[in-house]
Amino acid sequence: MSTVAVQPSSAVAPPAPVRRPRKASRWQVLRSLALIVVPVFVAATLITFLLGQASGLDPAAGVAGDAASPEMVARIRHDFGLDRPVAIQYLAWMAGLARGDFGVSWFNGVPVAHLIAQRLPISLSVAGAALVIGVVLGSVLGIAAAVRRGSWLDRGVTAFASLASALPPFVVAIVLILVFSLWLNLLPAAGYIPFSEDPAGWLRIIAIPAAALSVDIVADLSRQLRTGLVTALSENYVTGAVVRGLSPRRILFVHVLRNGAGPALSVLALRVPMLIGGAVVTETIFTMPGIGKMAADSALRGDVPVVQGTLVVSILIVLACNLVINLLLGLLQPATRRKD
Amino acid sequence: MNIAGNIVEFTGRTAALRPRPAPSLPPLLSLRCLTIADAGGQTLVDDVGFDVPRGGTIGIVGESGSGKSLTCRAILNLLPPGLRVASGSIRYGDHDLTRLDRRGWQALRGVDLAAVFQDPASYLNPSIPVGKQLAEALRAVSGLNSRAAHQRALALLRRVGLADAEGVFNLYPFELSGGMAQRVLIAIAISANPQLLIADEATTALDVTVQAEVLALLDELRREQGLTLILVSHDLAVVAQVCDHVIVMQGGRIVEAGTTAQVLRSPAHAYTRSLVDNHARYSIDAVGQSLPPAPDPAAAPAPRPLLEITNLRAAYGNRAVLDGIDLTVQRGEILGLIGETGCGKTTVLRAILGVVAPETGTIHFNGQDISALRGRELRRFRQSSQIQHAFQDPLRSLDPDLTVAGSIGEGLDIRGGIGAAERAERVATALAAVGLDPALSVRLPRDLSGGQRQRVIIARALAMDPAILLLDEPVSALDAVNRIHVLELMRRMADERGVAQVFISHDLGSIAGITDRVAVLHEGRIVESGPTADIIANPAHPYTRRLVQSVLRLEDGAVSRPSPAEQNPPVPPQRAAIPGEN
Repeated sequence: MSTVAVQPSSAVAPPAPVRRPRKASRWQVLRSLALIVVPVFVAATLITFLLGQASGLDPAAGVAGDAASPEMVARIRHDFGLDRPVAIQYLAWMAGLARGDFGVSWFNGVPVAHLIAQRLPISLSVAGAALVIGVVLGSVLGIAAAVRRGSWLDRGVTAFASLASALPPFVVAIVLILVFSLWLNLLPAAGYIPFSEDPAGWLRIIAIPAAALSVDIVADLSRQLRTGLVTALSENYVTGAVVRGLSPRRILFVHVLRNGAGPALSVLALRVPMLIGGAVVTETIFTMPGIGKMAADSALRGDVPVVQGTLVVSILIVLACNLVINLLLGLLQPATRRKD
Repeated sequence: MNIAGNIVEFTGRTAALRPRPAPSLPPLLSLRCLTIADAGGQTLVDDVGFDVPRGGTIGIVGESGSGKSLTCRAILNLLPPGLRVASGSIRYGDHDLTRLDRRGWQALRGVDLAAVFQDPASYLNPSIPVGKQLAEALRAVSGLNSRAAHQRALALLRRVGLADAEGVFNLYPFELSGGMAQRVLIAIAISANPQLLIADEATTALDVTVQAEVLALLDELRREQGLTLILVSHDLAVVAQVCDHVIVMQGGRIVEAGTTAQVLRSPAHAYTRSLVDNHARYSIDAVGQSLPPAPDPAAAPAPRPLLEITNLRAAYGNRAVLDGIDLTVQRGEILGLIGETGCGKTTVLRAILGVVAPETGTIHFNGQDISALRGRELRRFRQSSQIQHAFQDPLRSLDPDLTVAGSIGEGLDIRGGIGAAERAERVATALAAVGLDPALSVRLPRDLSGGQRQRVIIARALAMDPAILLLDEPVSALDAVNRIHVLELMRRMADERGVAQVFISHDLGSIAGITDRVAVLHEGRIVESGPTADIIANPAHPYTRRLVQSVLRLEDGAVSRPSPAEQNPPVPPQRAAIPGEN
């Protein structure tokens, strides 16, 4: 059997020349993402700021007490810069944000950035662990269900996903506390231990809240991944890869996963904000001093700068997660870059 | 036809081919009594057997559902879920492919056995540059390192006629034309120097000029690498072009087999005869014989045309698609609009339908400028349903959740004014007009064959009593028999009901038989138009000449090709394709 000759075939006319605009496209992607992220950030922070204005709350009542004289109130308002025009206040606030200065709490005068820095690791621990559990478990279940579609495993995953998406995280949290803390006495039910003090204790204490928060992600991700993969598995290019002699493992993890994971990733992007919203509930249940609980407490106290600060941080986290997932989608599937 | 008849017919045919000495080498591939059944036990391929000699070229011809593709998929162990080989054997060398385990397949598929299919771009991962996929296939079977695989991939791309191999290497499948994609797939298929290449409808739906090039490439590679080729097609002419032997399948059985020349010259089975006849009746060769002479334009002043397009320009973004089109269609006339993929022919139809807004130009229908209609007026004009259309892909043109009656009746409901009984009657009349059993009206599209679906779409258009029907490649997805039915139906509609038609195709041959006039569209302009027979007999524009030359004719394969033994001495003597054990 002869090997393939390298010279071009004479019998075949060369097809039309190929246009090549590829190199610039990665920058185009970044630019178009920036065009989304920056306006969203500006709009979201503006709304956050205006919410504080619209609340009509005033630090004077909290600081000076009920018997404050008008002069005292005016002085406190001046100290906090509240006697300036709204537009100036907004610009000053934004300038502060850019420097990492979120203002000071109306309640106890502590810098908001400091308060957030204290509590953010707690919330990030729980949310991050929930994300990891959700992604790992959701992917494993989704892939397994797709590969063994129609089997009892597949049906089990579907049943679990339907059940789990019907249960709110706080219900799951309470059930998990009942089972693992009260009956089995395996894990603590409340409080927080920093990772730097006791890694094992940290892991034990965030286990239940993270698991409770991850249930929705596992359910959504496994369901979307299963659907996406089953669709991708029936595509012709899978048949093509089989004919080319590629191994089943390579076909699944390189070809099918890449094309079938799109919807699952998009769902994940939608889930991240809910993770942060869910932190408010779980931190209350588990009495963890995270930013969710802080935001809720501060809102009740009318501590506007703290609420605004936590909102800004949440916005940043959500935007960052969306950015990462959009970049990931663009890398996995160049078709999303295609413009007509 | 029963099994006994099957065998008798073949024994006669095989005997006739015996003068050659008995083959010294065993066949490369040997199918015996192959039967494929679905989960319900229904037999889809029944008792199929043939030998493929080493270095031979076997063509399998048949309409959709004849079992030709299933047979090939069984050879590759790629049967769709639910289907299985119920009995019989497929011998390849020392292996029985019906009993091979996964490891056995790993050693054969992509190494010894390779395949290319219809709709080539869909067989490539849309998210990975095609060159990487070629290199991946090389590495999977040969263990080359990545640099060597890259170099060899470039060499292979050049070998299959992609001169700008470096450029193509980094393109994604959706950036390739159909012909380029098929070349890439062929490059992947031959990357491991396979013994056997199966080409399953590999040139179907490609532009005719591209089809001819791809067939030439396959033939060339076959000679050069000593490939054994199985070429599956619904088009007898494609198979005749390349193959020494032809197997004709119908309803899951082999009805005829023999050398290409024999089968074409003296088809023994009625089905084969109908294939050959149909080709003669509706092809480029038939023009001028079957058509009534075009009316002399000087004899009578032409009436005002039904549809008159003047200086139509349209663009997608900055890209001009139509560059000043002038067209007229008379009542009861069929106008063929020909051109290759991307020349703008579909855009013409979309502009007539008011889906694409023209930049300049007018479209007059019955004296009214319909390109100027907007909003409510446009909707009212559409509801008058004088213009109807049928698009290329019959499955995607039908709502999958509507029954046939629902799809056909929907337009009647929108127009309103008739009761349920009359609606049902009109649906039944429309179905009868396209030659479908009115009992089909309760079915869903997925329960119909491709030909039935296409006829349902035409029935849907007919039910509205249109003055003009716009048809976009209405027969290119259909096999020969269904194609003939649909073409005849369209001619009858024009002759008996006076329905004017604009018929788009990339294939001159498929529309030559029924159109009155042809307009050739090339790069957004009409380069030539006139009575069909004149254009085909005396193509003036170079592009039209290329189109006419690219049309595959049955005679090319049967007559002009030298016999395989003369052109390819080292290949062992060809043996006739014979059926299962007798």
